[in-house]
Amino acid sequence: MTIDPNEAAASLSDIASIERRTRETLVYARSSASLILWGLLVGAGYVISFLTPQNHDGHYGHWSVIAVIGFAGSFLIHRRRSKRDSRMGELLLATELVLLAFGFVFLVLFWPVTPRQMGAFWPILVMLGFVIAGIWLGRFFIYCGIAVTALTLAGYFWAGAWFALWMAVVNGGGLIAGGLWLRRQG
Amino acid sequence: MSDPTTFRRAETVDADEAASALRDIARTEQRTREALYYAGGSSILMLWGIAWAVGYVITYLSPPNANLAWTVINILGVAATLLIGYRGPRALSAHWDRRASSTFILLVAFGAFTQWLLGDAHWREISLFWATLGMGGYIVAGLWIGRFYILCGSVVIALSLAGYFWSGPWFPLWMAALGGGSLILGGLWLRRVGARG
Repeated sequence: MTIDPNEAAASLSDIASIERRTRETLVYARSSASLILWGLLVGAGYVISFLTPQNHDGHYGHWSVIAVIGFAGSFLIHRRRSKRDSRMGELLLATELVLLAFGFVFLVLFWPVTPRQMGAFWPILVMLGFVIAGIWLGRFFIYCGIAVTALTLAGYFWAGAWFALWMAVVNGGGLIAGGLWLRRQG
Repeated sequence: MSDPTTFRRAETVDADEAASALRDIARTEQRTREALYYAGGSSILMLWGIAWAVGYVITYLSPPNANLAWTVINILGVAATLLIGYRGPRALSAHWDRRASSTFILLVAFGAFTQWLLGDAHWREISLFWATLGMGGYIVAGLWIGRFYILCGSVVIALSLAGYFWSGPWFPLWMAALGGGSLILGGLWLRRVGARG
């Protein structure tokens, strides 16, 4: 049986397209629960920041607790699914941890940082990760990353004293809405 | 004439064979991807190694001209990186395409934005920030593409941190020699690996 170069190229392109869609499906399925978890945690964190005045003076204790719960939750979600797509889950979790570690390094370098700057920096760093992930893994993350970044910047400049509540809605709410949308797609 | 049932039996594979075949395909795909990105990465590493070395030497010798020098070096470096990506081997260009360029531009934009948002840092901190941002990108890329990038990123970050804390006024020369030098050596190593492949 012979196959001409055009047919071969078309077949390879079909295979690449199927592979891309499979990877997208795996990542989307993996990310839905994590996004909802982080959305709830981040939303709660910003509400606490808004309600407790000491947090506006640079005390970040509740955020440390939220980060620990978030990563423990992500790890458990990864473990629960690990039989199905182990390598992808490990890579996503490792990428999250590397991003977090670099976030801390950057903050140390630019310290002192105001709570407002901090409130804008973390979401934009995470959303940078989303957009880059979206470039390689699936467009949903690009849309989600750009939308949350734009809303974060809008809040940073124009939300005034309501910035923390604004972030609870756009960052926490954005992640939850994204996670629910991914779940529906799945 | 052969028995059709025999023919059908010969065409079937059991679950273990199928899983093993899929693992082989995944390994081959991983190695191909590594080879493609290593091939393009070699020239880009050497380019940035030289750019770093030149930039830090100028910073050391003529601090008032450092800002201008780094602006020119960064613009030329970004343009040359994109050019290498697009003009590389055909197989690499197909993979490089818009995605790698977009990732690279996003990292640079994020760095500029962070520097603006958090501001007020000294030159020494800003230097270290750009080094860790660039090498952080390498480490994340290495998680997905190939271990060499994790190793290269970690080594350069460790050397940059050591210089930041202990090299005193020699920090720019330290970064030129060890930061720039590591990138050039990494690029040469990748080129050798590519030539062997």
